[in-house]
Amino acid sequence: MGASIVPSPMSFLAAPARLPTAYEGAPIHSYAAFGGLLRSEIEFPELTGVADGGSANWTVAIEQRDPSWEGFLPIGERRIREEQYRLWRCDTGLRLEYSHAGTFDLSGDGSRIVWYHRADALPELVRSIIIGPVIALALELGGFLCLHGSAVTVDSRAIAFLGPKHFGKSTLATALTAAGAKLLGDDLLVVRPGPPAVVCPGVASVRLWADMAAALPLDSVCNTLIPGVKTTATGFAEAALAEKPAIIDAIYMLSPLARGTDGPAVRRTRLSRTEATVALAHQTKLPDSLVGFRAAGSQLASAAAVAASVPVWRLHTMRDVDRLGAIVRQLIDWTCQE
Amino acid sequence: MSIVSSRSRLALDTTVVASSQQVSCDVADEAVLLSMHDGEYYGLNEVAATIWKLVQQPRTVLEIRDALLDEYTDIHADECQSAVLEFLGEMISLQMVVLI
Repeated sequence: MGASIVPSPMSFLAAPARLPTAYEGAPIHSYAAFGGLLRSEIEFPELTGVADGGSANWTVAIEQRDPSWEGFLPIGERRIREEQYRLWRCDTGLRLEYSHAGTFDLSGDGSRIVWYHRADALPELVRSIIIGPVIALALELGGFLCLHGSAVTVDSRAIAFLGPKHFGKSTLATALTAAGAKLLGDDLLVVRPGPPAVVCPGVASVRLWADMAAALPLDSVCNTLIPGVKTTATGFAEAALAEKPAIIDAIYMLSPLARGTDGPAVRRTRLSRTEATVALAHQTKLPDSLVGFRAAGSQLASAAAVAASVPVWRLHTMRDVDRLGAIVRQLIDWTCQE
Repeated sequence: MSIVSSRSRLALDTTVVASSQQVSCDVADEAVLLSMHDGEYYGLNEVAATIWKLVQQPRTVLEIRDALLDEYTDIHADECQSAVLEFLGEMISLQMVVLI
């Protein structure tokens, strides 16, 4: 299967060319995602479509009118350069206000998501907010822990990679997938704390830096590459995707080493439970400043529960494409030994 | 506020209690605190976690020291008192423990 290069993100993501409005009688799309069923008036090319059957865990609707702000109280906020997120609450649920894509409401039980249509919002951005922070809020209401990371299964056991941006999470997950592992998800990891701690399949696409995308044998596992600031690899073969939630065998907190550093390409150090709890709490998808300290306390308790049943390691990896194969082999060996 | 200045305000009869500016979580015999003051996570070892449990209600420094001496029989009293003062001083500077 050869990987096709799509000329620009918008040409791939332009179907539909713009987001439908509620007045247009938008078709309903059904997707398997995050261990459940998502039914949506917005089309998500990033998700795996399924036949429209059974009851949905989450629905996404589009609302044409402007949102009312009566009864809403602020919880927290987060700024990333020019972008600002604000979280609000009211008697009936939560509201995420995002400076660049508009307003998203979430019902109190996390099952219903409403986006207030904004004509100037980029469809790609709206979708990324819904299957990013909004669905993370919904999942956390349901008792899941949402982490920023990537994961694969090896022999049906999940291994997860966590760490800040640019630490190589997606690269490792993709390299392992190309070596025979199955991709569970990239960017948003949905974890049921357990025990046993389980990670649910997420979005079946991976975002990679261009040099890594060029270096990895992607055409063996996926058929579409979308250029951009990062290259999005999608269209993964069914055999390359994990379809079911998997018990977590190990969590690796990435700690890259500069190229040329002496020593093995990869080594790991086990964290104590307390260290592991702190490390996991630092990698939650929803920052404490946004969700407020009450929810942060719940995230901390979930992190402690995961750390109680899953080995968490500091993974020191060489930043060297030529040694990626050795790193992948070692990770598979460790997983198969345990 | 430095740790030293916080500690210097502590005497054996000083009463302290955990503030409301934190959330905490037990991790086996240890604990993790999230400070609302600076947004940072702090891991507590077993002894620090024991002190943390004690200050969930108002206690004097003396009461805390004596409770630790009862639990950890291999610690010298002076060493224990010094450790208690150091830990409480740090917690006060982080606004996770307050004087009453």
